[in-house]
Amino acid sequence: MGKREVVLSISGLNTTLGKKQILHNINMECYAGEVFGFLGPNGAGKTTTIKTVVGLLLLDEGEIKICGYDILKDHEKAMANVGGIVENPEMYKYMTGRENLKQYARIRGLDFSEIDKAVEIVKLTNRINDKISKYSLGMRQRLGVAQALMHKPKLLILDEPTNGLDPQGIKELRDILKQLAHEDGVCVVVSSHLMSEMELMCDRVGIISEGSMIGTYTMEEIVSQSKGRFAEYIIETDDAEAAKAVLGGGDGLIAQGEMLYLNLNSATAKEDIAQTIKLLTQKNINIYSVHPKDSKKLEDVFIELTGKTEGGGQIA
Amino acid sequence: MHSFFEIVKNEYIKIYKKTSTRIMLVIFLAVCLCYAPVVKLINHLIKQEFALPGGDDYSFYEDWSNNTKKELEHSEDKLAPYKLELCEAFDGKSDWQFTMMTDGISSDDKQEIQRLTMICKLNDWRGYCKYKLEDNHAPGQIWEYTYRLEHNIGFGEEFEKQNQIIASVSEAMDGLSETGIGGSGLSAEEIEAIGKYQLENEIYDNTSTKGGSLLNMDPTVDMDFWQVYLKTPFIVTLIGVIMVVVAGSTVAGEFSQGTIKFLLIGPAKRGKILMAKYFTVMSLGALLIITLMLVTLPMVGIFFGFDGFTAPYLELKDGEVVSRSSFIYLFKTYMLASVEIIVTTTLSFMISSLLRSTALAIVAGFIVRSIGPTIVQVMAMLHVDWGRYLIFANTDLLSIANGESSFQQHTVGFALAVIAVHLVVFLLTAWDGFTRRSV
Repeated sequence: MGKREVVLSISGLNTTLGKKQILHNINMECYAGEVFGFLGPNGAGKTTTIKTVVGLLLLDEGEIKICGYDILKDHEKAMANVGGIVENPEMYKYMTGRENLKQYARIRGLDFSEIDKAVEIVKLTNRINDKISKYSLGMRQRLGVAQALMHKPKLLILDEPTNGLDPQGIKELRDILKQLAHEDGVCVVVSSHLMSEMELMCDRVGIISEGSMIGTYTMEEIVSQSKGRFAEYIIETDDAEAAKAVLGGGDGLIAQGEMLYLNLNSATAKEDIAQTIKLLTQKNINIYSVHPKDSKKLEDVFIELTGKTEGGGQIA
Repeated sequence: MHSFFEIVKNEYIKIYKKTSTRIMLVIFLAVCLCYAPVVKLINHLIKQEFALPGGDDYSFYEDWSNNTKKELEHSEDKLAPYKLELCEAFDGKSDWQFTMMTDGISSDDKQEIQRLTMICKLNDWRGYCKYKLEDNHAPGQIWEYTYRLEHNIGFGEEFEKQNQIIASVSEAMDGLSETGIGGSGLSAEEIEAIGKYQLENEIYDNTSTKGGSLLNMDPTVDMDFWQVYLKTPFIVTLIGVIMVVVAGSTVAGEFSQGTIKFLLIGPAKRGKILMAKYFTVMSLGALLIITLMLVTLPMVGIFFGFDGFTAPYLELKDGEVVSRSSFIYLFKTYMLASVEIIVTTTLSFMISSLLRSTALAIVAGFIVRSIGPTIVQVMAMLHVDWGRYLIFANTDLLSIANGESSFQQHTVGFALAVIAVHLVVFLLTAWDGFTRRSV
């Protein structure tokens, strides 16, 4: 990991709003070519961290570098490499989408042809000449993304980017972000409180809770952490109770209507489930479907990790 | 520097694209275009209202003459026949002869009455002047009649222009003209010096008496080009209203719309954005003032003609009268008027930088703008002298220049110093509020 280009580095970031300390000594690094998920429950400090990185909040303690440039000392050079959306993408409602993008193109000294390219990427070409007042939240979100990637930044920061997007839009955005990271080498930082979303999108996640960084994990690490425990399978059958009896009615078995839930040791899960199916068919119990229930992997890890902090109460 | 003007360009586009600013600009242009025709219409209507039937006021002299004759015929007065003779000699239209009538009728000196009758009969204005000079102690009158005799200027219509000037100089010397001619704010010394200069150099048209406020206009007489055009700086107040709205929404608007986030997630530093915004509103104010000057000029010309267009502006400086172009006077008036715009705009801009709501910023701007001067007025009335250090006591430079300030010995220089200090404070406050703010 060390040899990858560091695009964003945050070290020793402390933020106090009023009397309340919001962030406690945040340290993290994000690399070129990855989608980094910034994960945490509501109010954990995700948006505060992002706002500080893009210069919306004043940095009072700590150091933030973007592409090696300090955001305070080399503000213009640092910010030239950043594109982002924070909270909702608000636009000038009395102007068209294109006029809005022209505003930002001018500040960054871009050619207006970049606007068309960015609009093409977010698939907004047909509506770009409409006034923003006629846009839906999803369309504004797309325009916000276009605004953020128009100048081909090395660091793209999106705060809750899937807000207001339809499932189709979420999938498209996910593909766009993956493409930007994996093909164009952009460092994409996405914050969210939706674990399932992060799981599909991110290469690495950083988990924050109550203003403290709990840790950063690659997706593989998270998956292997969840593999250390049980793998859950669901078998749809015509007689769940009978099936339970056939399998010996152990601790890991729960029969509920036509569903039989199995908690298997993940190390031997595949062999066990094959064995189970064999056993049930031999006993003439009809099996309609078998599927693993593993979509909660990340969420489980997340709840466990943040829960640990709460249980320990060790907040510096 | 390049990106600074790109931000300025952005700001202009934002201002222009807003429906509210477009409406205000249309109203502003309409006022610029309609100013001359509306003044012309008012001038016309009031002249009709006050116009005497027959177009002259000789009927008054005729009535007076007839009535006096009737009275004298039945009078027991020994001198009545002489007085009657005097009345017969009156030509019935000259103001100067009428003065002799009133003098003669109330006199009980037979010789005086006979002398006046002779002057009237011969239409001898020189005799009248000599008569007036006897036993007269009013310096203005002494000057007037001596001057007429020396320069051979009678009371006839051929000397109409001179007569007006002579009369105003004489009144000024005798302390009879308190507010100056047409409310122009000229002092008696100035009227005297300028009037004498005009007579000496045979310059009978002068714009220094044609400035002043719109309210001081005398609509009962025909107005000429400069009389109308020199009052256009007062429309600058309307620009002040527009500037409160534009400056009030320039920073607060970004916050209330939420667009400040995209604006700040960019390479431009906050200070640069703020400076670009301030430059934008200030330059817009300047553009509106120039528009006002350029649009009203041909309109006033069309409706009032360009007669007297080349008339000079005479000014008393260090005891000497200097002749300048009237355009310099116009620019000076505009400069004084635009100081108020600068103060209003900067104040609104500061409020805008401190508040997150556009509506609140605009309302606060208007409240401060309307209550401030009232407070200062009250302080002046209560003789609270430090009120002169408040910004609102100093913004109306036109009045201060004309010596109409509520505070004693209030000079334009003092006002400018107070304004400069306030502007610096306003801008530093705006700077501090904007650059150190959490978004």
